Amino acid sequence: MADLFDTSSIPDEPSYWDALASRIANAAPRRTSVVAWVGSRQRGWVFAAYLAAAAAMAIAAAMTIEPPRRASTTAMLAAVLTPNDALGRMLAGTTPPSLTALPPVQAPPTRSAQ
Amino acid sequence: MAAGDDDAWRLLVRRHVRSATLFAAQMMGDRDDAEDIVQSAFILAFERAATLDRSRPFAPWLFGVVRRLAQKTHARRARRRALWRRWAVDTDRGPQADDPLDAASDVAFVRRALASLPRMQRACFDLVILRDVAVDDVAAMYEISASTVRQHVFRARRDLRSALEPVLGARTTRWTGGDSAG
Repeated sequence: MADLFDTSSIPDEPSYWDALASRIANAAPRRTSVVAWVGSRQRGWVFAAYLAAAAAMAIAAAMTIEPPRRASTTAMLAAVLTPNDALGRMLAGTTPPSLTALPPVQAPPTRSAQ
Repeated sequence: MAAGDDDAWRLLVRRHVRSATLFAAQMMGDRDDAEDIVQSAFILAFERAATLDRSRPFAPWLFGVVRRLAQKTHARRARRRALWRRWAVDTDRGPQADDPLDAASDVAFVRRALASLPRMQRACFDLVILRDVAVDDVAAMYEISASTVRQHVFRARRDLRSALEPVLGARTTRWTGGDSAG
């Protein structure tokens, strides 16, 4: 805890305490009336609740449309990216092709042959 | 107060404003700061009037709020001082132990002797003896027992007598509150 000070700066007179008490007593109701006014605006809170509900419904509606579009996009991408030759289609499949189905690998020409 | 009775509210403020302000002044060392903190504490009480526990005394709750507000203010200023430490002069001098302007007065002697006391002895003596605040209120302010407050006052008196007697002689009984019970 911080150091403690003496109270000599406070004038210990009834007039001082009366004035301070009066100032404090007048200040509190003025300030809290503003708070009470804001809190009493129930229409504002109800309107905000309706907005929040409408936003939630809009988001939910957007999410139900999304999956079919995503599926059609996926199919489109698959059609574009899939190779159009037999070997490419074989390699692009979900299961690895059998070795016998693959074409033989030709060895590159050696330097002596050149 | 919870029912909106203006007279009750004003009576409550008038009853507790003195002790709360003296306590705040001990924590802040400045009259304006003390008044601001006390006003904030009473405003908080007004806003929470409906939820305060009426079976418990109001003064300890108020002192607790004053204490927390003072601590928050100190913490905020300490952070600010840390930023300006290289350039700002520290004006929080705490108890004024040496004031050359009234060096010749008895008050200066008493203040110097008070300043040399341990902080809780100084605080309790200031409030109980010099300001005539109730021992129970001081106990609530510092969250100690009433007997502890009386012990602090007793030791402060004893130490002040020892410090002041060589200089002030028989007048020390006036400044230290005599031998009356705390």
